[in-house]
Amino acid sequence: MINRLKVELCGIEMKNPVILASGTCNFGKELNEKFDISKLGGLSLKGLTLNAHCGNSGERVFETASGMMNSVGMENPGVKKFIEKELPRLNQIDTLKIVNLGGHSKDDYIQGIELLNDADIRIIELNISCPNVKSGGMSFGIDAKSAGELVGDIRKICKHKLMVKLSPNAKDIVELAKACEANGADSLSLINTVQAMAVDIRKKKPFFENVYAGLSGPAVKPIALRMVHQVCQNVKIPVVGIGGISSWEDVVEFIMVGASAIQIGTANFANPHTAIKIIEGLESYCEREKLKNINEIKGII
Amino acid sequence: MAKIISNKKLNEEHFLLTIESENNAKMGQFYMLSLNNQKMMLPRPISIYDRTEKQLQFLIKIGGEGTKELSELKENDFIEIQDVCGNGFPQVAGKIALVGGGCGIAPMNLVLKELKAYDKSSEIDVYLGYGKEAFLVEGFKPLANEVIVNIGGYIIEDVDFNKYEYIFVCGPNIMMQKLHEKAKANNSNAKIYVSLEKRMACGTGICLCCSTKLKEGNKRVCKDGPVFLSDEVYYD
Ligand SMILES: Cc1cc2nc3c(=O)[nH]c(=O)nc-3n(C[C@H](O)[C@H](O)[C@H](O)COP(=O)(O)OP(=O)(O)OC[C@H]3O[C@@H](n4cnc5c(N)ncnc54)[C@H](O)[C@@H]3O)c2cc1C
Ligand SMILES: Cc1cc2nc3c(=O)[nH]c(=O)nc-3n(C[C@H](O)[C@H](O)[C@H](O)COP(=O)(O)O)c2cc1C
Repeated sequence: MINRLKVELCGIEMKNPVILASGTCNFGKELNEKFDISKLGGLSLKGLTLNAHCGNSGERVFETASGMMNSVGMENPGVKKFIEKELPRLNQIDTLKIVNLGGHSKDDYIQGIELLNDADIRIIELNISCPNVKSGGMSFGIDAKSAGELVGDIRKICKHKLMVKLSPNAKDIVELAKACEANGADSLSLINTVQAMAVDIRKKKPFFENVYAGLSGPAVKPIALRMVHQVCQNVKIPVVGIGGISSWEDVVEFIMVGASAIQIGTANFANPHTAIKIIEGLESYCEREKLKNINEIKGII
Repeated sequence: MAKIISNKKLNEEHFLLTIESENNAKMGQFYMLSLNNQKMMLPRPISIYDRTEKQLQFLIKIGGEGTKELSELKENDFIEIQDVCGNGFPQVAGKIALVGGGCGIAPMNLVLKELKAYDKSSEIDVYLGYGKEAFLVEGFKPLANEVIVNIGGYIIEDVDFNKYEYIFVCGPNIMMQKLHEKAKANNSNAKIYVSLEKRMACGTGICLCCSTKLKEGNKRVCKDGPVFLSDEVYYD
């Protein structure tokens, strides 16, 4: 049987274009109890920082119309512990593992990358856009110049493929994308969560201790689609579309506007089997449309 | 998809939802109930009130839009549920108190049944705290040693902290905190287990939205809990 969903990302072959988004599949263990995660195209693992981080205090989730806001704040075991405790198990599983790395400063990123250089991984997703960390993270992701410089410095020392994850909160998403490409990014992924706010009218206070939080889910999909379209029109490197995807039809939309692959985030929370249903939906779609490969519709809009 | 067998209104705020679903769930575990309204993506965590191999029953309080939708489900309607979630209460025997406040009485019904099935010589007192009016009290009576009901006051005032080897608690976080403090003040030797409540998104341990700082480090209420030793919890 031919695999009509087989795609390539930065020269790496994937079974299908469906990747689980960082922060929405942890390190794969829990979901592997529910289904065989080697059926996925890939997993973007929980965002790491150089050192372990306990995340934000207070409430971390607020549901909104067709979406949610989160203020998890990069809770993670740190790069070293990840390499020791999670990576060996993950490397037994035949799917693309993407290591998501965030940071509070340039030094954090550089040291994190150095530790990961010797690890058995192929691709790093650089999170320059997490809106939850008070200093650092966000500013790299807003301004094209500082993003470009950071990507350039990391590219010089990074042995793995580099995918840069862009924030919809950027001043100009196209300029940001071009700056990352010019400085050696192998691929781009977008969008991260949209900075947002909720108010507790009873307490007369912001709902989140951090005041602002990240909005995700179907509510952000039209914005994500527009941004992926704009970026695909302006860069040559492959783009991974993210934002509000919850059905195979959504995936087809992202591929039609130019995405090489996609990631599913919040929809995993609604139902942990979402990604599997989407892969099945895409297979039938290709068959019905008589596509030899899903790529045939890539960038047709 | 699970079929609704019945949905019974107990009073203006509470209802008992029974669905068809093969399961081997345990006391203190919970389910994520999905809503049919696409506007609300996140499923709602609800404890198991009662079960058989083929049925699940939930005691639910109408709090907001989601639980209101669940209250309007009719016989033969369908809802989506995932696998059972959480760790549940431990199987213990001896002199035991079960303390439930508000909707926290929900898990205690199944706890009482399972603990008695595990060791019928266990002596189990059930403490039920209600805001306005009592309901479902009769169901506890056949198996409980004693059922103590408090309406509008503080149920923990009624607990004799030196009588028990184990105390299981479920209710508002403030009630569990007060119970913990009172047990300490009374030099209670009881091992206290609490079922924590925290807003969650996934119920499977993948989002870290319900992560809570315990003495051993961060734990996920949905996956590592919801039941923890009270001594492990930081009450603030
Ligand atoms: C492990 C666990 C077991 C539970 N068992 C029961 C039960 O047996 N019976 C029962 O009536 N209730 C139970 N609850 C509380 C129940 O989940 C909430 O009342 C419900 O989610 C409210 O949804 P809503 O749409 O009506 O309210 P809204 O306020 O509109 O909900 C908005 C969002 O906040 C979340 N939320 C609101 N209140 C709570 C809360 N108290 N706890 C957790 N999340 C909340 C909702 O899930 C939703 O995502 C349990 C909660 C947990 C964590
Ligand atoms: C609870 C939660 C945690 C997240 N954690 C991370 C993270 O650690 N690193 C990261 O790059 N993105 C993180 N994200 C962003 C997602 O990967 C994704 O970009 C975003 O949610 C949009 O996709 P969606 O609408 O499909 O969820 C997180 C999102 C959520 C909801």
